[in-house]
Amino acid sequence: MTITPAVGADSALFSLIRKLADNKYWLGRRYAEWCTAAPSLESAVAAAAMAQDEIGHARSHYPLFRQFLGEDVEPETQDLFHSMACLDLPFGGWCDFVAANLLVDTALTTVYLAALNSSYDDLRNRARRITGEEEVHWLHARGWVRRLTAGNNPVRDALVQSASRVWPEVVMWFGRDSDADAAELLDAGVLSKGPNEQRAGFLGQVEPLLQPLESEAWSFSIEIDCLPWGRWDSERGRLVSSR
Amino acid sequence: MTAPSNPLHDSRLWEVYARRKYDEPLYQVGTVAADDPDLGTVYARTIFNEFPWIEMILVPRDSTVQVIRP
Repeated sequence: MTITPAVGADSALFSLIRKLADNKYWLGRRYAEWCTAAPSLESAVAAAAMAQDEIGHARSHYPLFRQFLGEDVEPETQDLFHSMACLDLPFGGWCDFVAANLLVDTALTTVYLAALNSSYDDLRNRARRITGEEEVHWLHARGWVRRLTAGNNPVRDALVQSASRVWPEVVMWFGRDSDADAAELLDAGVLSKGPNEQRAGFLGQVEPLLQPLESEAWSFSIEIDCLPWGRWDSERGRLVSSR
Repeated sequence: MTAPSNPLHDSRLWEVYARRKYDEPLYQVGTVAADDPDLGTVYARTIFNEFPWIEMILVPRDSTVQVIRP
């Protein structure tokens, strides 16, 4: 039996929708910045298509804010976003793009997969469409990671650096099963999986591609409890700088 | 997959075939360059998206056998 999810500005449901929307919005903008700077014409077109997808996904969420805030929200007029800190700045290079494509994009899709049968109709409908369109994004990430990790070259090292910068925050973004909001979303049937199960699904998908990146310098293996939760802003879903 | 000589430069060419209706044959719509099949798939889908294709395939150019030379 599912419970009708609570709807309000302070609800766990709104927090989820807002985080998905803002992360999609900024991921799309970061992708778009590489439409004219990708390594090849084909990859530039792919970057543009992926940017269009992400921004379109974000825009399909912002009208839902009216249900929670009683007013429409335009992302361009927001001054506070609930997105990961790793999306705050433009990508420094193509490897940053690939790392975000592999890790951030896949993390977001993992949540939508847990929403395919959501009790919240608006999320369920969007999840079904979004997960279908994200298939191409996954192929892009997988293809580029395989390319950049083939052989022993400086580009591989750059990808390791890019992935290691993003990795802790993405892994933490799913939250913890002990989070009150996560429990509420699971109990209400908004999501079919809790944070730990979502994270396990995400790790199972990306780890085979990350294995060639492992070295003495970096390992993707994690102990959840050893992550910097003291710097985690659970409200905005981002890692606060230690500085 | 063997390491490409330049990891940021694609050298393998694929012929892209597609069709819009079930009762028509596949026909060539263009070419993409990609060393990785996944990337070839992405490029073909994003570049040749002018129609709602019902089928699209990639054929590596280096696997074609020329029967009659022009």
